Amino acid sequence: MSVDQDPVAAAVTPLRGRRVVGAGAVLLGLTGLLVVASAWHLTQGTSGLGVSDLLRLVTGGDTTGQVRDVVVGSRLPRLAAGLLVGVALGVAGALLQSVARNPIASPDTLAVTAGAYVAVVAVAAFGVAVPLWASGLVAFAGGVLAAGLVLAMAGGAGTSTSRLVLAGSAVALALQSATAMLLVLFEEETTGLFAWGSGTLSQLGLRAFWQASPVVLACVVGALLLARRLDLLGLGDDGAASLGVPVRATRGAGVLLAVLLTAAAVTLAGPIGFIGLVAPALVRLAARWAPAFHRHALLLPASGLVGALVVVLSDVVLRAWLGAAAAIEIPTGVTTTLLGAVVLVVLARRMRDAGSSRGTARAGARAPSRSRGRFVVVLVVVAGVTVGAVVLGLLAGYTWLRTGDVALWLGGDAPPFVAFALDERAPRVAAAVVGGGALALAGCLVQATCRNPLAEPGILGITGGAGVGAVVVVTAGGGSGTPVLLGAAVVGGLVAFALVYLVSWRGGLDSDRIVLVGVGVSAVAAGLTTYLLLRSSPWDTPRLYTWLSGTTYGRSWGQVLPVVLVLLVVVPVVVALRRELDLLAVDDDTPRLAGVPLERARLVVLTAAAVLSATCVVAVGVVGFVGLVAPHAARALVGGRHSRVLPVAVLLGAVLLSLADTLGRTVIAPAQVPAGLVVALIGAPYFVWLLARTRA
Amino acid sequence: MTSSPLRRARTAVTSLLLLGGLAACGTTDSGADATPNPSGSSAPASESAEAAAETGPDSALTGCADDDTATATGPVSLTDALGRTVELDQPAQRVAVLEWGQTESLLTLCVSPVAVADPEGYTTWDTAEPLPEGVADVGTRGEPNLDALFRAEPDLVVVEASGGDESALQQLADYDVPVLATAGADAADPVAAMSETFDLIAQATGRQERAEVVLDELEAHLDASADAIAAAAPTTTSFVYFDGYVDGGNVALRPFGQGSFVGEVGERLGLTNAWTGKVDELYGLGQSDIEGMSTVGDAVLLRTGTYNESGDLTEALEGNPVWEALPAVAEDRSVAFAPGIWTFGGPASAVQLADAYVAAFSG
Repeated sequence: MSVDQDPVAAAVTPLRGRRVVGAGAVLLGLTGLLVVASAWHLTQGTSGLGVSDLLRLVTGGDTTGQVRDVVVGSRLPRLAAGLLVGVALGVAGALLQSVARNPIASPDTLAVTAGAYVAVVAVAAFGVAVPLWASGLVAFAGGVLAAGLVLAMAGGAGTSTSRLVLAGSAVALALQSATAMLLVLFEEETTGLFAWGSGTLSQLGLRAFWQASPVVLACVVGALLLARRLDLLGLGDDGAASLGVPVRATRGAGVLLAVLLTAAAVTLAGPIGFIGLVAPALVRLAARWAPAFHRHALLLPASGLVGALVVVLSDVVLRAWLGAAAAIEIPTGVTTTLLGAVVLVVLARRMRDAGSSRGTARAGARAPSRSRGRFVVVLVVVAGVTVGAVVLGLLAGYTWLRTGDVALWLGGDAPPFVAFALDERAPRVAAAVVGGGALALAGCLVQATCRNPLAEPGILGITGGAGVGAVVVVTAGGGSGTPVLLGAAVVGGLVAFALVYLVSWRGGLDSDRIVLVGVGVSAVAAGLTTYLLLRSSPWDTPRLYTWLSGTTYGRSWGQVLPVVLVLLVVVPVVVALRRELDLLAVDDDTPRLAGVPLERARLVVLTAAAVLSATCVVAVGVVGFVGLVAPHAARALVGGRHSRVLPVAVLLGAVLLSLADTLGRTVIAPAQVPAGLVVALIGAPYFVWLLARTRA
Repeated sequence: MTSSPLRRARTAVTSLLLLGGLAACGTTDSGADATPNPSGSSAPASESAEAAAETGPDSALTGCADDDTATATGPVSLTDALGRTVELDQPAQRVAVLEWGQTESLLTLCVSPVAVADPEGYTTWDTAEPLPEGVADVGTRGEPNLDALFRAEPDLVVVEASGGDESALQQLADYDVPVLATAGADAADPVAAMSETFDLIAQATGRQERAEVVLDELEAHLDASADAIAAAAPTTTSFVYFDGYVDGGNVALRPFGQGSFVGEVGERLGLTNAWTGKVDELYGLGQSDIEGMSTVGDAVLLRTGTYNESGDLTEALEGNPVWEALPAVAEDRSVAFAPGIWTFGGPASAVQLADAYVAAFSG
């Protein structure tokens, strides 16, 4: 492979004159594009002042000062914020991707945006008095604290990046659930924050910009100072260490700079997603033709410029298309997410196959195989716990009941209060048990196929697609809880899965590629959902938000039945395929060697997972954590063989979701916390504890 | 041989399970629990509710203490906002309400609810009618706790048609608890929508006489307020009522446009709502940034007086050249309403709004 085509080699070999000139020309071109986009941006605004008015200002014809006021008070701050956010996030993404040696690492991975969001929502929900000049600091502090938590749990900033990504994702999920819970429980106090959570460029003035720009400037300079070491880091830890690069210190410095940059960006524009992923990816894509851009001294500024260009262009195009007044309805983050997800999917398709095994990095995969006796004991205990959880679910709630009441109710002799309470609770408990079990089963199947420790049904876009289907029906006027809604959710989930499967099919299915495409499709679905919800209810946390967070509220037996039926169909199929699952989980070659038709087996397994998750949405809404945690816990208990893991995982999933539902119904009665949020809140610390137990 | 700590742990767990099992045995004594237990809900009115209740002796609406209207008897048959028929053998006396505007309307009709969704929030945000003691809390407005609702033994449950989960309320219907769905708002004619909802609740509780008295007094008060404003001859009669949110460096402004309850009350008083931008279909609310406010000309700027933890929104806007250049700000015509006015309320809130407009334009 020539120097031009190998990124690492291109990064470390010296630049020749022609290349420097070429690179300089590209950077100049990018800057020129940015200037044009910025000028166009300045001509757009809600007050209707256009190009002619701006020309008047420039030529001194603005006698009343009105145009100057609008430009200085509103348009310049918006543009400045967009540029600064784009630069900060672009550079932060490039830093993280280089440090992690992973093309899909992004600033959101370290839970910075999630931490900033939860801090702002918590301050609003609990009515904490914050002086105006410090309101930006709340978001900054929240982001930095969350990243600090992630780093502490993962074992330091210089630790292996897979642990960092795992810890970051777990913490981000937990914080997002906490945010959702606050948005739901403190509806009036947090009006408008659901929209803010997707990012907005509307500025109060230039104060926030002046507060954030020194931080961004200092961090970008620091990143440029690190550039050479980052080039060498691409050779691998050992290679770089042998060349005298302090590996841990460099990684730590890179991560810290990325955290500070992201936190500054969130103070300016709220949590804007995907810029940190898209900008460096685009530069690396362009570097195929201009290899000089593999060098960090050029990659970092180019990522910053591309990031700024993406933010400004997406704002410009949206306002040109919809008009500035209508474009306010759409948060900036939704546009960048949709754009970035498309870029991600395109990139994923171009990715070369990773080839042989990616390494079974699943937590607990190294657990020694357990004896059969232990398996039986574990199974019996977990089954007992499941029964206990069901009983507890029936007894607990706003009114605490006793087992005698349940016996009376079963016999039809219960007094009205008891009968009503149990009639309300029994379908909910059943939905939680059945939904939890089905999700855990789907999670096992997905983890076996994707061989990725973070894989769960949501990662394939299924739950996102179900959410879009549901939101479309509700915003089009259908009520929530109707059969149409549930049917739309199932169809949406299956369509999203089909899309992910077909797009990632390139003569075969690569597990990395399907994960990337799934992440992209999920992001598109999330962006669409947010947009549709905001369009129908721009200010209030939508009532559908609790359903989207996973709740059993209002469930009836008719909604539990489909999941039971699907389970009855899928479980025998999975049991018959248990040995193929063991082979799939190792790598791509082992099943072929064993004579298993790889693609067909994968298709059957993934379809089963898709059908299970899409139908679960009917019973429990969109629940995200169970399919991730239950298989991990099962493997930690009984080892890696699927004939043992599957039953234990199903029971554990049932216990987890039903306990979460019971807690959510009881702890703050009469108010209720959606079960999906409780699962994430108790699942995330458990997941991080699991992480801490495995070796790096 | 099991180790000693393990054995102790096993013993502890087993005894806990046994204790739990014993505690869970038996049946609930339903006799003792027959009376619904209010669960510490309606806090005494907070500071923001110090503004005199709108049905006191000096206000526009006759207070419930002086009310001498009769309550109707006899069976009731209604068509609610969703087109369903609600049949009652007699007007409802134990009413549970799941939204604040309807709670206020019920209290104006001099009927005390037995259960309210989020009574603490109601006391903070809607000061038009104070909530009496002893009202049961049934959870959040979005997901009311059905168990708590049933235990309050309501004759009727009043919900807002656009919110809530209809399938959940189906469970109440299975136990013969009638549910009345009312329209929360309608941007086509918000004042009429409010009157219709008020009327529907009045019919369900047999308080039609009181409702007529209240609506007549409201009309009279609105006319009197319009006269007061005309007499004060303000320099401009156009206005924009807005609120907004500041998070970090971001600002989002929410003007109440055509079809909003606040805006329509203002127009009823002879004023002109200067916000003509796009609004949502239900509540008539628009969205804007600071620059967008410069399109309202010299309209008076009105805002809420209920402050959240960051204080007055306009303090955050100070220093911005666009804001300072607005005619209303430059000429000191930016006014805050009295605190505690619920902008999606009933007749008592409308009276509060009218008083606030008069104070803003003649003060």
